[in-house]
Amino acid sequence: MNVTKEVLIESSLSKIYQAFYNFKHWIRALSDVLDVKIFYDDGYHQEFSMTVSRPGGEETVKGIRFCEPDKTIELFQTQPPPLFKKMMGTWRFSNDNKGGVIVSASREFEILDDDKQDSHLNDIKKMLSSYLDKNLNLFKRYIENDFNN
Amino acid sequence: MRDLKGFQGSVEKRTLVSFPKEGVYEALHCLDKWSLYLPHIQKLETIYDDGRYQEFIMHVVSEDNNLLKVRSVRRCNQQDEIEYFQPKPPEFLLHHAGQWKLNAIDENKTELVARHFWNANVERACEYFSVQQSDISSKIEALLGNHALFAMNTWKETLEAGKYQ
Repeated sequence: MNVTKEVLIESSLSKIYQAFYNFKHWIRALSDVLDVKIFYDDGYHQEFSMTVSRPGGEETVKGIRFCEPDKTIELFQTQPPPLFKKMMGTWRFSNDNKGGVIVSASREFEILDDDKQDSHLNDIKKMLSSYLDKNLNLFKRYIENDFNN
Repeated sequence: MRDLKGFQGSVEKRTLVSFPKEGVYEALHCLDKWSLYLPHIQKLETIYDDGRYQEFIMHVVSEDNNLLKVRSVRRCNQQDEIEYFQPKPPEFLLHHAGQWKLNAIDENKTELVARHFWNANVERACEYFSVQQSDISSKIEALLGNHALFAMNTWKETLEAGKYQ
């Protein structure tokens, strides 16, 4: 299953890329991110864990990111969130030729109980889609108003 | 193959393999078979493998006969490129990443390119190699260059001798 969301952010490409690349900005931009641990970061490859607050309690995911500065960040999770068997995704950053940048975030996933009914799968897709949309808009607000290095 | 700018050091080695590009890619990509063909790998534990992304631990016998566990994470483009990094590199490195690139010369011949990129842990590297700071780069370059050549030549011999199945 795939989910894609995008947002237009009025700022420079490099600043926007930095906001998504550097995890210190995740903690500042997203109030539900409680903690991030970085195990490896050479500028192109990252290994990290992230703990977020969810209605059912705290959730910790572990992931790997392959980063192409100012272009893309690719993610796969070696420890996906509960309910998910696999989770991977990409952020793409592109100039919109009017001074803004389009950030497109996609996720590809498999759920744990894939024999469950379509309605269950649709609920999960809707939930993921809503988180993706919310996060992109929170990043937009953070970058356009509060960002500093 | 993208250029990973900003690392302190890098080394590149190339060789020609008389084997089709698709077959060379399969040998480099298929982790399950490595211990059958690479004599220094005693065992390989696959932690994650969805075809594009892989995480695994190699149990490697070092030159001084010690058993090392090396964890590696890779992104494989399903055609001609594999990029990887080592989340916990050896003590003399802060960061270690690398790339494999396959260039088809003709239907039965492939150029195999291996690149390593690193940032050194200067203090540890001086101790490890028993050298001064100014000599660290050449030591690391020689070591990783030799690793690249050894891996390339092992695959070249295996594939060209028709041993790979």
